[in-house]
Amino acid sequence: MSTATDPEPAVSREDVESFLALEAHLLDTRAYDDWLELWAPTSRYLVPGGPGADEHPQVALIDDDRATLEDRVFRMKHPASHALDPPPKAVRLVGNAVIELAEGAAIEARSAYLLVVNRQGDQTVYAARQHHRLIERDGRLEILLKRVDLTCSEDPIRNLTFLP
Amino acid sequence: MSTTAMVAGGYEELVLRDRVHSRIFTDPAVYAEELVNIFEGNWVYIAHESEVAHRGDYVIRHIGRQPVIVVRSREGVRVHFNRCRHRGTALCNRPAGNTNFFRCPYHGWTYDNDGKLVGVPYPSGYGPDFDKSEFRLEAAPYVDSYRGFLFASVASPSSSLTDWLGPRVREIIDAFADVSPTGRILARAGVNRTVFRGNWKYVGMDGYHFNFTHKSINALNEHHGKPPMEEFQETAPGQMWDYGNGHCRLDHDELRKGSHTDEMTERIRAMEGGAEYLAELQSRTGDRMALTLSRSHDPHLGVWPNLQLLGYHIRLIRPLGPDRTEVIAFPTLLEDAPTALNEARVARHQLLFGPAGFVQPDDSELFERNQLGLQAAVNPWIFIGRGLDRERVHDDGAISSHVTDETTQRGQMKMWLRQMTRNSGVRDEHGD
Repeated sequence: MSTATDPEPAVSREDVESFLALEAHLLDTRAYDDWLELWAPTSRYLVPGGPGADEHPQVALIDDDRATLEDRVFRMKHPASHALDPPPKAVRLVGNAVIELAEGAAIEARSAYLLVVNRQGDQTVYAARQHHRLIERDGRLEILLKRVDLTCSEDPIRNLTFLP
Repeated sequence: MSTTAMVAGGYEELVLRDRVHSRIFTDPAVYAEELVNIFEGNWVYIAHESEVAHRGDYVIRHIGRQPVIVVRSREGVRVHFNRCRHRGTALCNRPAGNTNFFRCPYHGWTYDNDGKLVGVPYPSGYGPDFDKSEFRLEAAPYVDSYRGFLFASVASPSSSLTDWLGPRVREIIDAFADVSPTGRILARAGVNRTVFRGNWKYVGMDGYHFNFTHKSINALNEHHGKPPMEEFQETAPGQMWDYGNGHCRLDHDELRKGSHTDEMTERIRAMEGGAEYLAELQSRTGDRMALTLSRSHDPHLGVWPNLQLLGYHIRLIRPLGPDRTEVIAFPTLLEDAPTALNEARVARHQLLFGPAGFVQPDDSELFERNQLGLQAAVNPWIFIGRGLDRERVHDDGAISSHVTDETTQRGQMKMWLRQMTRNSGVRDEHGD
């Protein structure tokens, strides 16, 4: 409930949009260690797969906690990861952000996402709706949850070893 | 129609004792004949019955090129070709669903789940002699199942399903299912679909590749202070099997005895409901409990031509062209097992398999590079002679060798040749 003496929210819409752009930039430039720094110690990276039966559990394309995400990055950097040799060139465009800021609560950011990947003469466009749940800690934003709903999640996919 | 005329010299010249001609992986004419002789010529896997658990549930699958509806009717599981008997429109255009009637969207012809034509719009236009019973959905002529694994054949199969599988294959499928308290596994945890630009015959059953194709996994283990995977070392106690009929297996039973299985058991015991689950399993399997658990952890079984059981999942191989293959992975749950155990199964599968997994994409990548390499066909021979000098032939005709050998590839190629030269006893319905 706002009053005349409420402080400005710690995080602005611009901060969140800049954060999303920074995340995309770090991924595009394969600065994976810097990208890992954006994640809270307890966090989840979820890329759902196609719908299965209405039973739990259901397999996802990716469902990593922070420790598994670090293993994923380790593998991505390893020279013998053949599916990433050579690494793809990728550019991500994030936009249409719908951002809910709430004092003292996590920030929910929903955005649209286009990713173009070039590898070995093939160019593939991926599209997704993203949902980031962020928190502000010590003046910086951290990711608690990143969920990427790819439009191709139910289709046969060749190689999703980059970070969608 | 003579098929060997399409290939100069015949297929016998393409599959030798220790090598095969790369044309069988690249030639569209060969691929076209594989569809007829292998995929539409004998038993193929199509679905697990648990995928259509409730009345009206259906999934769309393929027998070779032929799209089929696998549906559970009041009477049981039915397999109909996905084609309206009127003008041939595909009745179902979603990969799965639930319906009590199949109504063709084109002209409204309606069938029940058993395939019976129950209604046509404006029937007077068909006259008094129109007999709806002549227009039931065409059913796959041969359908049978083992432990819920549903197989179908378009042509008269070479033998019964039971005999086609054989006792050794059935024993491994049994272990995969027997770890469920009800004996039933459930392919109801979603699906991963991967596609690669390469031939379907590359997929799986290779015991030589792991430390090289999946070198990054060993590196990750080392990074965590764990030893490299023991399964595929040169000195591993594992063996590989040619079970006959193109079926094969990578057998880690010996390696997984003792401490491996003990660790697995203790992990399960620590889960909520784990102790009760293990007690029930013990009472049902007795002194075969450890072996059953170990085999269910990774049966690594290939059921020719298109089914594999790997880790906790069912793998369905769908050829789309000589150089294009879809691999569909169904992680399985154990009916009535503790939730934590089923969550662990799905989590482990998810980590390793699928197009974003830690293991499967490197296989796809190498299959694609293999297909590219085969274009250099001046010397067309693919060498699959590893371990020929140390094979052991068993009394029932099964052949075993070291787990890093190529007995599995040779076993598959032997069956490939039999089916392609129609020497497997396959008889076409029309007497070809």
